[in-house]
Amino acid sequence: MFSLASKLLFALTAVAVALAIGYGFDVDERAGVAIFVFVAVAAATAGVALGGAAVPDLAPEVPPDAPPPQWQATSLAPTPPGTGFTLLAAVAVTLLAAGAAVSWELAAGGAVLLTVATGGWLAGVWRLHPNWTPRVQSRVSMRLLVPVGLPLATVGLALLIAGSVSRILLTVSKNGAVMVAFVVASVIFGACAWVASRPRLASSALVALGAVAATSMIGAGIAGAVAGEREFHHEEGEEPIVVVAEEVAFDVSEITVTAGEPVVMEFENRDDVFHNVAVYAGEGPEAKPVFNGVGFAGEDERTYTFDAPPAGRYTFVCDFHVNMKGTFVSLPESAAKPPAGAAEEPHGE
Amino acid sequence: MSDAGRWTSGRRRLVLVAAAGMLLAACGDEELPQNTFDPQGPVSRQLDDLIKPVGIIAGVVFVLVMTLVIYSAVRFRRRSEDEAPVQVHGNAKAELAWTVAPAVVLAVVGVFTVGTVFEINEVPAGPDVLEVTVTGHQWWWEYEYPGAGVTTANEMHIPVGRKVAVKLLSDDVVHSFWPPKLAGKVDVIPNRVNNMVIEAEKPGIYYGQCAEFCGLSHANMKLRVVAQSQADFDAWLASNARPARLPDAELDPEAAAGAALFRARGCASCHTVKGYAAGTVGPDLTHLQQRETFAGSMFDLDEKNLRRWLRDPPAEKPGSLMPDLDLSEDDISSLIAYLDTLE
Repeated sequence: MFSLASKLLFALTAVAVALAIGYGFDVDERAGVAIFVFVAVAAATAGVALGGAAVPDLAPEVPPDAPPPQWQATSLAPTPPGTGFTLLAAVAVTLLAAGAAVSWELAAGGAVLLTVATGGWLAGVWRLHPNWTPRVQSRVSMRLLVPVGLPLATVGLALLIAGSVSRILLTVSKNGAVMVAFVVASVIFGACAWVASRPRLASSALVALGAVAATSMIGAGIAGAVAGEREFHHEEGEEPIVVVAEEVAFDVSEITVTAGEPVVMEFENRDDVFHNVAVYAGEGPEAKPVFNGVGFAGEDERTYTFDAPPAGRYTFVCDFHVNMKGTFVSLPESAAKPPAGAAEEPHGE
Repeated sequence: MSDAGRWTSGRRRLVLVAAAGMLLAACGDEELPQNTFDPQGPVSRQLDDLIKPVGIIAGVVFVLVMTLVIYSAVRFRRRSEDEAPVQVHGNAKAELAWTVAPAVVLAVVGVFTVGTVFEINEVPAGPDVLEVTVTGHQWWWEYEYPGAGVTTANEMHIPVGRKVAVKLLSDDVVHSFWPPKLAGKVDVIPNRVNNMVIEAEKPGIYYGQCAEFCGLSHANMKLRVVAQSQADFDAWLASNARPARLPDAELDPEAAAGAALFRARGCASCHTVKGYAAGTVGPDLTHLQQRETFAGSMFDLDEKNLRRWLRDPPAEKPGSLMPDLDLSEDDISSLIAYLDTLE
């Protein structure tokens, strides 16, 4: 019989396989499918591994009239306990190998991890040696492990897992990222719930589960890092026009835009009175407005966006100070942008 | 115990009486402008046809359950210190009944609810449908009639008997558009387009307001839907598509001075007056005088209210994004004279 842990892991395998298939059909992207397959393989492997070492949840039933068990002499030769550092060392070696192919940062991480794993492993062996006394143990633990080792290890593992997850999320598509985040959260939640529901749990099982989780996470992270980031959509717009108002004057006397294109204007007001930038066709009260930017007192800045008017010559002013003004030129779309100051276009309205 | 106890029970009775009074008052007045139970259009009628039977079913269930709870509590209470109440375990018939009955009730309610939800969420299209884009701002509503070149604020005009497909946008935070006699409420969310349908059966003014807390003046973010005959609506739309006329400096010097101030004091940097100013932050004022209210339908549009408003907007409407422009009384008079020309 398989233990509850392996059954859960097999269920996770099924879910990951289903997700891999669904994701493959829906998104058709290799990296995401690979990650789900990776999770499935890791979960299946862990399920088999834990299943072999399964301890029945219930004690075997003994009939009330059964004879008492017989006493048997046993030899007390010490058996060396298992260690999780072998798994950690395997992860470290994987990182080193992958890092050698991909990036030196990954390799450096692997080297650090390998040092930790080797140190831990050797320390474990030291514990079996006759000169490992309770006094030595408490000194090592109080001076090295508790104040330095434990916090470092926790932070390191958290960073590693966070980094791995971030690689995964950046690799897969937007929907894929949501799915991955959901699966990771469910797995963490499920595992913690399972651990909490067992009043007594062999520490080796716990270590194995944690190691499998960390390995699959980091492995998937490496796969993600290798696959690279997905393409992000970047907003591309016109170079913003920068206008500064200082001591009741604009710093530019002419603004050139292309007719029909969106205009992005970064307006900085360095005075403590209200200023704005407004564009009119013509001058005086009869002038027709093209755009009136919102007025505000400095020092502050705002970004104005509006569509450039039809080709022609316009005026830009500060609505609050009519003497602050300049020429606003809208070039026809066909005209290539000439060097600043060379704009000579037929007059508009 | 006695004094404090008596005082508490007296206060409790007072609160009860007050609550009952308020409840009865809410039932009494038939002229409540935002009465949810007074549908005046097919959409709100559809909702009403759903919510009333469901309400009755819920009421019956409530009475039944409460009666059983009270009956059981009284009938099976512990009557003395010596005897324990009868201990029972399991009753297949009762358990079956109280599992199946709610399931059936919920299934019936669910069928009608889901059907109505899908019907109401359908966005109508076609030549008979009027499209209006509603944008929520802190704290006023903007209405745009695409194709007609008309933008107005707070008072939405619609023709009677025609479906109006409303597209809901927000310029800042989450609002909720809610004209209760014409439709339910639909949230207005930044960077998202929500849809709703409204339709009025007869001409009139239908009141509503923002139904999602959106900041200081949320309570002052009211709205009106003016339903009128197709002919009246067409006339309104045509007159609102015109640009504003610039006041003549000789015939009306005060209004002309106001127009100049409208630009010089920065009004133009926020408000649009078609043909004269192209601000994009505040309500379009091109045909202000065709409206009955202003500032999120908070005030009646008259000279007295405008004067108070222009002296210090945030003092009249908490949080108003229109700043105190420090206008003199003469400036205010000129500006009001100009605003009077915006017909």
